[in-house]
Amino acid sequence: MSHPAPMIAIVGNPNAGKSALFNALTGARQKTGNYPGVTVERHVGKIMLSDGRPAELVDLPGTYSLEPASPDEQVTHDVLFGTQAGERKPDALVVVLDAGNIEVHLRFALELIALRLPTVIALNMVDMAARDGLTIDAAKLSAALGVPVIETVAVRRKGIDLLKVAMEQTGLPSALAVEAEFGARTRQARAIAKAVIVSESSGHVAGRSLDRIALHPIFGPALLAVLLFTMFQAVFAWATPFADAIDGGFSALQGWVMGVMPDSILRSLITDGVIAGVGAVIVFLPQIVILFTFILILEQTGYMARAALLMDRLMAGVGLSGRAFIPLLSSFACAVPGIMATRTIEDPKDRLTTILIAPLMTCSARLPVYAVIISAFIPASSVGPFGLQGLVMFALYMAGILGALLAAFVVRRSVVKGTTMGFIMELPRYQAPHLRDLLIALFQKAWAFLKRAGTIIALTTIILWALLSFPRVDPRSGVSQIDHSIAGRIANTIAPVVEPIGFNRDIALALIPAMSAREVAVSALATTYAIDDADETQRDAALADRLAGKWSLPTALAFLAWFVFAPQCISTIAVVRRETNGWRWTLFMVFYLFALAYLAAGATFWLATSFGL
Amino acid sequence: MTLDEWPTDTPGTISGADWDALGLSAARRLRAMGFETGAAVELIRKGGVVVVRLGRMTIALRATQAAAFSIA
Repeated sequence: MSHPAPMIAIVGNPNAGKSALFNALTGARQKTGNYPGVTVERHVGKIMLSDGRPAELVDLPGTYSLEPASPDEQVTHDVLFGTQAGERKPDALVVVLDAGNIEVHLRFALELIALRLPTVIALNMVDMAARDGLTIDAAKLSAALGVPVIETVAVRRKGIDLLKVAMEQTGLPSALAVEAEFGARTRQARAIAKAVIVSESSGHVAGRSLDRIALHPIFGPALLAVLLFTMFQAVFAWATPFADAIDGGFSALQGWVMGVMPDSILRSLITDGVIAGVGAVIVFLPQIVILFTFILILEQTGYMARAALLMDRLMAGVGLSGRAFIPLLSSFACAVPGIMATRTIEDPKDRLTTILIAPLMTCSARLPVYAVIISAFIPASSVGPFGLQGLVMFALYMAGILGALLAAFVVRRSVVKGTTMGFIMELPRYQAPHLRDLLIALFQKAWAFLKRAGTIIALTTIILWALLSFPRVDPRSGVSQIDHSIAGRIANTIAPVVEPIGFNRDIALALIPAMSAREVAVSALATTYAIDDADETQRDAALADRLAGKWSLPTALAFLAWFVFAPQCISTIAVVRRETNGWRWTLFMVFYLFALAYLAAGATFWLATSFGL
Repeated sequence: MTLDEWPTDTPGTISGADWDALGLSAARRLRAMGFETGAAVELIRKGGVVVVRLGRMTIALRATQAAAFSIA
């Protein structure tokens, strides 16, 4: 292309409302991806300027200055200087300033103006500034900076049209002489801020009274505990009807295919392979959506930074920072976005340690495994006011969290030693969550999950089905199809390794494809027993009932203990490799997690056996 | 008096900063946020992590880090 559409970058401090502005400008016409070599998310969208010209808009990670302190900020720096692989140098900039933080944000704006690119300033969140009693003369600011300044309220789409007009009219960069030295530039920013602030009332600062509760030494942690409890409660309770509906849908689909297709290899592939395998995974979409709804709301309202603050004490105890709380919380949904969220941790040691322990958080992929085993082996009796099944689930979550804290403690005193940057975090102003921005972010998370289910998981289930189904056994010979199949032979070879920890051949068989994703263990067991049980009545029996007949209780408990620790997720391993720039830490993580899994499963099996369970 | 010892809800001014004690990356980040000699601050929470109101920003940092700033 000789005349590509101009590339416009949105830049600004964290919490300036960049993403909301990006959403307001592009609407749903946006794509997310990754910059090559790093897991920093790349958000790009197409916009139509009001004169009909198309332009490409890229939302760069928020940063405080052009001296990068995290991988995120490095990307912003490299894009702006034209050295980022996979991105052209921007033709123009939209600099987002939080009107309420103008003194601090102006200094970074000056740094950006000094890049001498055509620039428009979006003076954002003017409504919030007004709420704090601050009025800014936008025309005067524009004159002082030599670039157009448009007042916006991105979450309410205010000023967006004017901003688009300004974006197409920017021709020349500002001629303003920006101070090169940091201190001098700070003074310059402060002088400009002082000149353009029309009025400011001190006194009432919105959100201060909320913080008196949220950051209170006793009420603060109590509130956080209530929020987290509600969140997990919702994940389990609210998701059930949706999950049941999805499950029913897949069963109906399976039944329909059985009805319209003659019994054949192809029908077996579709019903036992694809539908059973993919269905077993998509059932977890409601839980992922609910968990991310909570996380996104906590982020949008500004509460998440307060939660990180409250968690800093616990995290500091094991050598981490409170910032690790946010990625670790996301890891309860899925370690992949969790590990990607570690890019907001500036300190490399904190970040590496957080990555290494993130897979220990009980992600939603473990839920199908836990749920099937618990319903098969743990009686639905009660212990005091609690259900025994729920207590076992809680214990598995706690085992993951305690394992993670212990691992962080050991890692920070051995392989990742040294002092870190501590905990520094801006607490954004509280604001109401915005539905449209929430839905866009939620859709992106859900779509990424479905893509994974539709590709990696579908593919591995098909491969497993093939390995289990060939070579075909003669139905009259009395030999089981599994024993005869390729997969069965592989499993028979590795079974001796896992026999000491109480695992049987079928488990060894399920563990192989479960390397792609943990939940595949369930679909693998389902596929295995579906293919094994030729007779139709057995076929319809729930997987849990079949397991209860085939496994001993110590084996089932050992299987649960294994999945607390085992790094059985190809996506996580891939993202860790990309994020740590190599195999060294990735292999370290895989090895220590498998070692923990083996020890935990073994200890569980032998303890349970010696107690006569 | 250092920032972590400063009484809450009392306006103060940063009179000195021990940037070396903070380490390069923390010093850089705090400077970018506006921590510097002459800046007006107010402490709104004490504890292991203190919360400081600086200009129009609210910033959380560890007490050990806040100790690098002297207040008058």
